Amino acid sequence: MSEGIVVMGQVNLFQVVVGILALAAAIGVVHSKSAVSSALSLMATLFLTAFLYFAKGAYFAGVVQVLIYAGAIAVLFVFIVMLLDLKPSRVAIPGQKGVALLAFAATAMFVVVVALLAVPGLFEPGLQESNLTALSAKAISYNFVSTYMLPFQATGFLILAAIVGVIMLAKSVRSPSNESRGEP
Amino acid sequence: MISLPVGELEFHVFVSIALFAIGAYGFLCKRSGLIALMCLELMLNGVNLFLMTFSKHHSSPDGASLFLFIVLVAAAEAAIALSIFVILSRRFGSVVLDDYRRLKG
Repeated sequence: MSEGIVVMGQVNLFQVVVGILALAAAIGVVHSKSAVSSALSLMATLFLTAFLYFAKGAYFAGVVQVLIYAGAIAVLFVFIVMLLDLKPSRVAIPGQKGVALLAFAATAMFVVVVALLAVPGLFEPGLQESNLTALSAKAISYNFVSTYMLPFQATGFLILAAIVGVIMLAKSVRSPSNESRGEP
Repeated sequence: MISLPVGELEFHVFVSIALFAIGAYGFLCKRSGLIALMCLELMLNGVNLFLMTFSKHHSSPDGASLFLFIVLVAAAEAAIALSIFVILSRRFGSVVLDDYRRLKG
């Protein structure tokens, strides 16, 4: 590593192992034959990312990641996959040629951005002593009710709309039997 | 703990971009709607890691706040999208995106 690059701190072995395991689990999401193992790989990726947050010192973000992402969203995925009982042959259908070209473009973007990481002085220097109180729940919640007040309220409204929408979708499943009785 | 001669910032940026690229690849290549949704979550996860990395780098709570917004929006999106897929699979008998030709018009 050259002198020009400002380093926040050297990465330790735990972070490297967890990061590489997270990438391996992410590849497992894409390349699993069955949808259940894809969903379980997604859960593993989200848990390992939470470990990366813990290693960084962002404890609140790690807890949120475990509770909401791995605890709620990934379990919801596993639940729905088990509910629908997908056949493995329908999961691993190869894409078309044009789509593969787009995917190649995505990979090429990845290579370009990773090559940019080698440029010295790419990132602005951070603070010498990392101030972990900036990542605490107190600082984040203060930010929520001061700088991000409008987005915070809008997110609350979005979640309300999502709850109402899911209830409407769940009711519409039974609608064919209701239509015969003249109900909307 | 053993330190490696790689910067923490660079390594975390690498992992987040790789997560995003794997998610984008899967989203574009997979024909199953549920797997595409999972890859969407992978992409959001990569962006979250990116935000938290620079939030720590600059010791600013802004990135952490955006992280929370993304998590909340992802939760709402997953709930809506999964219930849509449950209904579609009952109606069409599959979650493969190519089977939904009625929407093409």
